Amino acid sequence: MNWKSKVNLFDIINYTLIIGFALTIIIPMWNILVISLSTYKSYINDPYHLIPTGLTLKEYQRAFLTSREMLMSLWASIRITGVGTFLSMILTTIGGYALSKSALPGRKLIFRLIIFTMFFGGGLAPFYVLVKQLHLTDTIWALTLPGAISTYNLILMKNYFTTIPQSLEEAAKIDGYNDLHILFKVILPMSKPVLAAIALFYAVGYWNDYFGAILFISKQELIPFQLYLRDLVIQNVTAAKVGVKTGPMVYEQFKMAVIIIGIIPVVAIYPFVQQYFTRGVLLGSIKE
Amino acid sequence: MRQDAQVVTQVTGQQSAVRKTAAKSVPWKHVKDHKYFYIMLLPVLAWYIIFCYLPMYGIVTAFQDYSMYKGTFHSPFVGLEHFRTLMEDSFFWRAFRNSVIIAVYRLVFEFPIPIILAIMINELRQSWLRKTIQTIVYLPNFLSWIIVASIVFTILNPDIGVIAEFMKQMGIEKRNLVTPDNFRGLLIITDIWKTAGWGTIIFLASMSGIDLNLYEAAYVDGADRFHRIWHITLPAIRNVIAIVLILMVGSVLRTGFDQVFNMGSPMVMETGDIIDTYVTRTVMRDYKLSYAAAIGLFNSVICAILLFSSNFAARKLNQDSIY
Repeated sequence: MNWKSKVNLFDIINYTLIIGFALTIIIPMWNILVISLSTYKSYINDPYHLIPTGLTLKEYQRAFLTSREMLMSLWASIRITGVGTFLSMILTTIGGYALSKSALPGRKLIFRLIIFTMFFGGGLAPFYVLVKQLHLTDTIWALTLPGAISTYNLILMKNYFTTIPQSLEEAAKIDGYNDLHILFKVILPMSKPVLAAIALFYAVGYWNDYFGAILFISKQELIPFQLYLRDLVIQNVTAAKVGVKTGPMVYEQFKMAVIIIGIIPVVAIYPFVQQYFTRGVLLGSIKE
Repeated sequence: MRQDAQVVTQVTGQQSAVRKTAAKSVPWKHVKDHKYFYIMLLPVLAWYIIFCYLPMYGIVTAFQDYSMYKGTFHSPFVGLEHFRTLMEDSFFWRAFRNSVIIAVYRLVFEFPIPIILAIMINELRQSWLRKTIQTIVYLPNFLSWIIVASIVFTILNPDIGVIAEFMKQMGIEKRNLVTPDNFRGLLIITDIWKTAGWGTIIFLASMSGIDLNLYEAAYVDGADRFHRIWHITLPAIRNVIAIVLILMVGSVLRTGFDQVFNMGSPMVMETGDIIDTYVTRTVMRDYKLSYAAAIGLFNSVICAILLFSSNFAARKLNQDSIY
């Protein structure tokens, strides 16, 4: 088509701006990566830290071998993400499936009650009081139960389930399956992409969450990685976190290494799961 | 066997027809038919009651002099006292003012960016470049604000940051780059950095449905690039833009907590403190639970009003609305 073939000024500006934007995303992370991998000497000598001159894994060794707090926080985050995602997926799936059944009496009312919570909430103080009164403080449940269901994800799940043809379920009914069987043995196995997408949304949420820990956790074993990172980099509580006495400049390189450790899981997994994320968003937005 | 199956199909077919017509009245039998669905909904509803509706009831503490020791039922009732205090609280009004200003900045500056970016990406010719760019710009959305704040502080660090180094080479003296004056701008810019890419998804999806022949026809008619975008691309996503705008107006006063909490410091509180961070401090540092509940209620009501009125306005203009 000839309307596409001419390259003009618009294109040049367009390409420049877009590539520029993409670079603003890549360069800062690259910068931090370089600092974390530089030898102390090249760190001092090179002010820009954009092209690595001397390379060493010293800071990563320090992080993984001597910083007990960092390792504990990583393990805590893994546990929290695992438990949380599992719990969330169970609740969201059965809820979404039940709500997708248009013939269910009372469905509309229940759905409205659920949607209402998206617009109006109790606020932080009553929430804080509630979790405390439930005696969930310093347990993994304080970090996984309160956020277990995301109404947004629930709606995504429900929308997806409504697209499954009813004939499938009716055929299974004839075979003697009851509704629970149908869900677990028929519907779920064929919904793997959707389940993957929503599970990933939840997992990222749990991995990045730190606020629950600030409110309810004082036990060292349950401090998530993000909170450890926050104390280290933003609050500058350095000495205890590093674990070993070192000079002030070295703290900077250690901090960079920990930031990279925080970024790596997301960056590494992300290109492979990106398709699931985008599919998940589109699921919820296509109106029935 | 086959005959039985056919009979069963007929029977179940009739049953479903009966089910559909009788769904409006709720005979007990129909509830029993669906008993497994109710079993499925049970834990879900229980969760909503415990973690969403119970805290709503907890709003009543806004009208009490609440103490954890006495609990909700034995704390003394103080009526509107906390709200009176609220009106006089200059720190609250500072936070409120900041919340509103930042919300307006977001609507004006942040809202158009994903749209523009989506149009720009849509105009890219090479599919591999489009996909690569999309992958790159979606990424920051999945980093936590703690990580993003860490990155920002590293870049802006007056001692080791890239920008500071650049300034030194230019002869500009070293100074702190995060100030009360530029903090709000910093919030907007970093939020764009983080979320604009992801925000393009829904617009790009809508654009992919546009008939390419429209562009061809417009080209033949002599329309240049801008005209084609203005008259074909934009109208096609008009409804999506409206919905996104409505959602944003309803939620814009509540967003930004993670960002401000992690990027803020006592120094920038004058311009950066927002309602949510103020409430958090009131709960965590000052332990004034009733007062925090009162603020939360005040905030929720305003957000609800905003959401309903923007939806109402959209309906009046005959665009799509949420319900």
